Amino acid sequence: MAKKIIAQIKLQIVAGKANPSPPVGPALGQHGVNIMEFCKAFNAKTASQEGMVIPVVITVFADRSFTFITKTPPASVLLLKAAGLEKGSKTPKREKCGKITRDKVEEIARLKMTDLDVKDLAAAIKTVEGTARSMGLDVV
Amino acid sequence: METRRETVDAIAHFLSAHGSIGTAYDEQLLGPSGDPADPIPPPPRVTRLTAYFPWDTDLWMLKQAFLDFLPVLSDSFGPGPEAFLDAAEITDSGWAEKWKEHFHARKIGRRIVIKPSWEEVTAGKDDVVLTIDPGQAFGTGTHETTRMCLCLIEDLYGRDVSPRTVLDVGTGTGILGIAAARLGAERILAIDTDPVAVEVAEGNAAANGVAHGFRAECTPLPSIPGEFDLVCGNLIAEILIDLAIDLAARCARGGHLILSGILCEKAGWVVEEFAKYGTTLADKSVDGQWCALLLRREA
Repeated sequence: MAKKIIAQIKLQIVAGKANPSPPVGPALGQHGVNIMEFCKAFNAKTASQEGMVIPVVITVFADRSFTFITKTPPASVLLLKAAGLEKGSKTPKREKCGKITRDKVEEIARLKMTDLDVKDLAAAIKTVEGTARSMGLDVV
Repeated sequence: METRRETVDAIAHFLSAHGSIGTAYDEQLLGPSGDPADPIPPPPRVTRLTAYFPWDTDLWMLKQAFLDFLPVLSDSFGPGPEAFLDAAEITDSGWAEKWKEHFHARKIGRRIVIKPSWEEVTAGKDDVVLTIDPGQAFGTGTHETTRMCLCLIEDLYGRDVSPRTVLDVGTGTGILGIAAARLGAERILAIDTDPVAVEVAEGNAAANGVAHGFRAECTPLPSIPGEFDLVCGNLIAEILIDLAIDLAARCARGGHLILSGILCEKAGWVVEEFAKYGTTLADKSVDGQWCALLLRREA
C-alpha cells in the first residue's frame, strides 16, 4: 500500500549547501522531518551543481520519512545566465539591468515547461517573459 | 506573501536581491469555503510564499520595497492576487525539536540498539544499547548511510579484526565512534568541522560511559597525527574524494576504512580514487540509493 502523504514542501535553496537554518529548518521541522537527514541527502544529490539555486519538492509521509525531487533552476537564474549578468535589478520599476532576446526566452521556456505546470509553450513563454521584465530585463 | 504560481521565480529573485536566504512556497486550490476538496467552482490557484531574512534586516524597508515591486509584477504578468501578508521574527521554538516525537529506539544490525535519552528500552542479553541525542548534529542511526556504517563496524568486531584505535571523520553525534568504543575499541578520536557537533558528540560519549577513551575535536584532518586501525567517514562522495589522500594516510597498513554517504552511482568512482592510495574493496552495502564501502589498506 502506498504510504500516506502528510505534506509537500517546496523550497528554493542553494545546491550542495542545505543546512538546518531557514528556510529548510522551519519548513521541514514543523512537519516532523529529521532536518539533518534531508540536508545530507540534498547536498549529496546536488554537489555537482554547487552554488546554483535549485527548487526542490519534498514529500513527507505519515511515518515522517520523506522523498524529494529537484527541479530545473528557477527561470530567473537561467535568464541571468543567458543575459550574461550576475544579478538582476533591485529596483526594476526604475532601473533596467539588461536585455534578453525572444529566442533565449523561448529556449528557457522549453526547458522549464515541465516544471512550470502550464498548458502549452505559449503560456510558458509568457511566464518566462514576465519573470524577465520583473527583473529589469527588456525582452527584445 | 500571497501570489500565483507563475510569479514565484520572479518574486524569489526580487527577495533574494534584497537579502533573502531562501524561500518556501506552497500551492493551494482554494474553493469558496477554503476547502481544497470543494467541487464548485473551479477555484483560482493561490501560492503562499515565505522568504527568510537575516536578523538585522529592516522589515519596514523591505515591505516598502515589495509594495513598490507589486506594480512591476502586474505590468509583467497581468493583474493578479499578489499581496503582502505578514512579517514576523522567528524565535527558535519548536521546529528544531519537533521531529524528536518521531525518533524512537530501533535495532540496527544484529546487536546494536539506538535509543534517544528520553526513551527506555528492554535490551536483549547481547544487545549493545547506544543512547544518542542528536541536537543539531547529524547521525541518529535512522538514516541509511549511518545504519550501513554501524552494520559494517559491527561486522568488523564480530570477526577476528577488532580495531583498537578509531578515527571518525565528520562525527556528527559521535554515533560511529561510540559504537566502536562499545564494541571494544580502546581509543577513539572523533573530528568534525562543526563545533556544535563536537560538543554533542562529547555529551553522547559521556552518556554511553565511553568518555574515557573518546575525544572529540575540531582539528582539521590533515593536522591529525598518527595512524588508526579503523577510519570512518560518513560524508558524501565528493568530500570523501577530496579527503582521500589524508583519510588513507591515517589508516594503518592492514587497517580498514568505512566510507559512507555515497550515492550508488558514485561508488565505483570512490573505490577507484581510494585505490590510488593503496586500498582495496573488502565489502560493500547498499540500501536504497545509498552505498557504504569497507576498504582495506594493503599491509
